[in-house]
Amino acid sequence: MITTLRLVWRMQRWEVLVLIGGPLLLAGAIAVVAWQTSVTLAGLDTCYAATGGALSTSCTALVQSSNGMTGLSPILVGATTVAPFIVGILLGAPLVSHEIEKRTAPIAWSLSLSRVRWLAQRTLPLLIAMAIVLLLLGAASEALIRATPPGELGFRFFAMHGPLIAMRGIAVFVIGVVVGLLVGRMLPAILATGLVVIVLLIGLQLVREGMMRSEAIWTAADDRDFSGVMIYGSAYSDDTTGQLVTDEEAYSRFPDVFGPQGSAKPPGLTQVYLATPPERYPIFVARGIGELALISLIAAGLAVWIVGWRRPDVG
Amino acid sequence: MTDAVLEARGLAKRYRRGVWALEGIDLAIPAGGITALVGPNAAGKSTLIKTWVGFEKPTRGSASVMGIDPWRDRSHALAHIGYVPQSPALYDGLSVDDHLDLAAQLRPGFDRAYASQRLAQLNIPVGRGARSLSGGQQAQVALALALGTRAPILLLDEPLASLDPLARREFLHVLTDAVRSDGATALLSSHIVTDVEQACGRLIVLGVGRVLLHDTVSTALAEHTISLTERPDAVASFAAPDGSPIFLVRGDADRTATLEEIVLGYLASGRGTAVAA
Repeated sequence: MITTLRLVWRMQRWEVLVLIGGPLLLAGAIAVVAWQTSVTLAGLDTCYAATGGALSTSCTALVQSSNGMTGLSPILVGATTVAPFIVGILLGAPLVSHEIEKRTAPIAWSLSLSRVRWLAQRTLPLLIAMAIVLLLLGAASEALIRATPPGELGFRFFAMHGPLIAMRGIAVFVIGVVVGLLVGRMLPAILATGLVVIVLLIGLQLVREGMMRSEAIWTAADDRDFSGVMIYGSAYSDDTTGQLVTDEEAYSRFPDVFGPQGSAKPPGLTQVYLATPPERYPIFVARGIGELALISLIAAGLAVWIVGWRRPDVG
Repeated sequence: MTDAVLEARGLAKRYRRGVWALEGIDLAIPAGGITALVGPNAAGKSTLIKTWVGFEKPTRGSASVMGIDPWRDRSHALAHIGYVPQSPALYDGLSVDDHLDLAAQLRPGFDRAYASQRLAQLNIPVGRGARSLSGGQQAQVALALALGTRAPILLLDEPLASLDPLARREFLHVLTDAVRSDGATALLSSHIVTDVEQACGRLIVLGVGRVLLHDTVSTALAEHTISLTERPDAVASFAAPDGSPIFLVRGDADRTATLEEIVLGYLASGRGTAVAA
């Protein structure tokens, strides 16, 4: 095991340093920002409670610090969202295609009595290291989202935190290995993997959107906090009949209410939103993990099949 | 033919672009010694060797290693094979020592000490990055990896092609020594006849995907002569270095034939004419 890790390190030290070390640093940075955000916001609460509105110099500094971190959070969360794709593609796609392009595969495949075993030895150490780092990154991102107001882990942050980050990385990595095996050249394999992943993502996104929309229900605006909830439409509900009244119809019925001086609360009507309830969020996360796990398994099966018949040289 | 370790029966291989690399190869290579597989570029030498390694699927016919089909049962066939690929490439970032570790990981029973000892005899620095070695040293590392498998069959796909004359001589010396001491069977492909003449006991001439000659070197030398005048029973005619036509004959003629002339004669018979180098 130690020999395997040593050889992987020697063969791919730069990839490991950049593509495993980079996300690890990002996870560390996010964890620090999340912790700082929590401390700052707690300090601000104390400030507001003590001063009753007029802030001291130290409290003003806390406000500035809080603003800075609030601005930083979306950037870090955005980087977390992109990380599994970059890491998965750049680690997975060149892994076997490099061996084929650089002509090391003929020696390796003639020495190893099982190509599947060779593939496992070649891919698993990196895959496991990547998965662990991306899990840490997902956890850090989750901590940051929780620490940043409104602190809801809802559909609006879907796939930007938690185990989905790692699962996305795993799926992209395995797809990269398959494409690398088929193409047999590094750069085309990286580009082709990127293309396959984009198509797959769009497909998954459309399926998920469809599912979320099909599970959306009309909910009164006052009934719940809608932060983190995916809203697909708004309307009004007639308080007496319960029938839906479109926004346009409500505006035409009560023009004064919606005018510059109006209250925007039409009498006898309640604002409702078509939204997927936040309770469904964990189910969608689990479903997303399941979809990606299935894709990874299918891709792994393809990799095992292809490596069995593929020539060890380009072409 | 039952003692053959490498066999091909009606073996044909066509690549996707429609080119036939091999056309109906029938061969049975017996155990022991070094067999030279000689032919020009694109004669099908690499394809034939790769078919025995299990890298190529025959389009027609069959290939076997110790009676095992290498395409259907690759792991069992590979267990009998040590392979040195054409222009062997070693791993960037790995030292020679690391390569031996890698081989020991990949191949059950890999004799690391034996391979290491072979390299030490050649004063190859095992701690150095493999890619920083000279071409001859890299070829020796590839040979040591094949020898370390302790496989009874060694398949060497033009390992001499990119080596200087001294490195070629050293390589052949190590190979001959290993085959003699281990009792292995080696098949060495090359398009340079002079390199293999002294090391090989058996000769296969391959041209345009077909076996043109398969015999022991001593028999081939004993049975072939050169006629300086045209003969109806000549195997083929080709140009001597001075440009005059000479004729390869099976039987008695004007003078003995060199191995290179025999090879050139059979290659010429396969495609028309040839010019002696």
